[in-house]
Amino acid sequence: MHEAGADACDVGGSDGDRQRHDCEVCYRAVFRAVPEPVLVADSAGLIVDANPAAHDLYGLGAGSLPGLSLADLFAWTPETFSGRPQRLSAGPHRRRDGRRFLGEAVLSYIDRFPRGVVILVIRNVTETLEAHSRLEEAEERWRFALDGAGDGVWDWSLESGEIEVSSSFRALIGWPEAVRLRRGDIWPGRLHPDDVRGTMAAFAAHLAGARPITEAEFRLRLEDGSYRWVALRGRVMERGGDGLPTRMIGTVRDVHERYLGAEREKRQQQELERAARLIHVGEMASSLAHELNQPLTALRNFSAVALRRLDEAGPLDERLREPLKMIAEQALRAGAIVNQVRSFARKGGGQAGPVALNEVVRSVLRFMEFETRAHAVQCVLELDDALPAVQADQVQMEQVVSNLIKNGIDAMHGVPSGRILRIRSRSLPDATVELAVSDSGEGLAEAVRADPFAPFATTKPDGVGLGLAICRSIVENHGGRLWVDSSSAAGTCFCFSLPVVRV
Amino acid sequence: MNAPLVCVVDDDDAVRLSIGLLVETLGFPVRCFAGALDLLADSEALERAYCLVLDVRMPGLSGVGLQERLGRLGSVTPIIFVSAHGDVPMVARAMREGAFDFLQKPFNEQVLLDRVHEAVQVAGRRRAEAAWQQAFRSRLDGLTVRERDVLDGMTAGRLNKQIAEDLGISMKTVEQHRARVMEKLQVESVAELVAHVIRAARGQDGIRSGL
Repeated sequence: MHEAGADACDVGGSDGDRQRHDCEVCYRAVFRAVPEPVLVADSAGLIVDANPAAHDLYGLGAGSLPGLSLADLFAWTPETFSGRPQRLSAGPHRRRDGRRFLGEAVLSYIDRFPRGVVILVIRNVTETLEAHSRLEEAEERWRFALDGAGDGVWDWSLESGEIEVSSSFRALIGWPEAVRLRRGDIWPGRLHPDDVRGTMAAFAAHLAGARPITEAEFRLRLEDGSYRWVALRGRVMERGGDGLPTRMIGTVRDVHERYLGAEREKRQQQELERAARLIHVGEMASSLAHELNQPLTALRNFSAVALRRLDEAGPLDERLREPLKMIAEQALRAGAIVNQVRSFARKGGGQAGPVALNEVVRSVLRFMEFETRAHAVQCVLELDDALPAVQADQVQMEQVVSNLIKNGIDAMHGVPSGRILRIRSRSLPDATVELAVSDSGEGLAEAVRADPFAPFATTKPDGVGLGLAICRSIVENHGGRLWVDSSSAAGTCFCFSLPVVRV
Repeated sequence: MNAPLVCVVDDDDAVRLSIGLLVETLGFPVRCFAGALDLLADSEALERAYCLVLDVRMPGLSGVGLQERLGRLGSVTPIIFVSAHGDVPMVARAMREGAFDFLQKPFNEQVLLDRVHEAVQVAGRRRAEAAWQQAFRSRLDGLTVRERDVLDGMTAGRLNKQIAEDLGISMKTVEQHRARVMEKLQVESVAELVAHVIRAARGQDGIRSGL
């Protein structure tokens, strides 16, 4: 600013008095108005002019600075201006009341005047310097403490992208001391691919102000190619004038052993819980079987008694006889299913024999005719007429097929129209047969998509989530497998395959 | 003799009633009990029963427990177990104790009716056998000590002469004892006599097997 003022005078200097006068007025106005203290001295150090800010700084009344020597204000000597330094580094300056402050000076030299003058812009840097040294000291202290505690420390300058890391962090990764690093060399460059998203999101959330701190656990790739679990913490320590973060500092702690231990414990805990649930299921199935078998027995017996009494009554009305017989049959069938569930819970087996899966499908659909009609489901059968028999337990096969069909019907609950249930059977060259049940529903829900066969995975409000688990057990006990062939917004297809009867 | 009675013991009201109604269609009188101890307390029913249909698991005394008690009392009435559990060890124990059959609930009622029918017939034969055994034993009890000695000789296959020598009596006396034994035991030939003695020797086992 002072240089600009000098240049303006310089430009005006070659023209008339009028212009020179204008320039002088302009110079005086700027000189008085600037908040920076400005001194004008000759080469012998005698102050010839000073602005109000300078008088304030040195605690002197207006107009009392001219005539004093610079040596009265700070450690000035005739040699100070030799070599024409651009600035005088911070040193003690004296105020009139004897108090001192740290001052810097920026210098400009004007040689046009007879003896030449020097313009000094003084800056009080006492507070800045003290704060700076305190900060440096503090940083030194916490870096030392963190490094000593086994934490690696990093110091990331967001503007340059450079990142400084402590020696223990370097040692963890295996980097030599000398290598200069940029942020990207560590994250995402050193992160396990599966951990990149979560970690970068943690940084982004903090940098955007959504989180008070960045915290993330991830696998860090070391120089030898192996991965270690580390826990990173960090926070923005400095912001620019626009409020945007410019510097972030944080730590990295090796949590590999603890993490693996915790993972192992978690897995064991899950295993235990699963076992406990299955034991519980076994007990539940056993007592449930008893409770259900009692009324089923009575149901069967009463309908049989009714049939016998009809026989005694003489000529029979077949329309009465048939449904009574059906009641009696269904009671036995229900009993068989109850006992299968119980034996499943006990890992027992069924009675295997040749079973025609097409027949199983047809008979299950007959049983479920009411349900398919009630839900406006159209059944499309694509059954291979030459399908070989499989070695299986008839009742268990009925259970698997009816479960898959029931799931298919339920899956189309939210579809307003075009509810199509497609059942396809075919024989495969590897001596197995495959049955596929596909629906035109909305696909598997997110909650069960990962493992729809897990016990107690269910999206149905009244379901216990055992259906598919039991189905898969049954199929696997028969040497086959059950899987989800596809699941999309256009529907889901469950398939199972079983070995054919050996001739 | 009264018509063969069938007793049903089950703590489930509906099951008990339905089995009772079913068995009645066979034409047998039926008596139902809600607990094993109720049946044990009814000596008249126990006396008349040709078949017991017992639930295995009941509060108080279980079906298998009742079977053991009845066995100790010398009962030979066939027992058909019905169970909603059907645990293998329980079935094995009941069958070892001589259960007539074991049905898993719910069962095909025709199977139960067939088995009840068979059980009643077996019970009839067992009762007849028990009655014969008792009668034959009282006839044996009617023999004198000497007659008993001669009977032992006869069943051991010894000749009259040998028996006479064994017992130190005359041939004629042996012949007299033989005639008295045949008469008292109501048999026509020595072959028949031996068959009767063997049958009697089988005793309780013979009754259980329903011969």
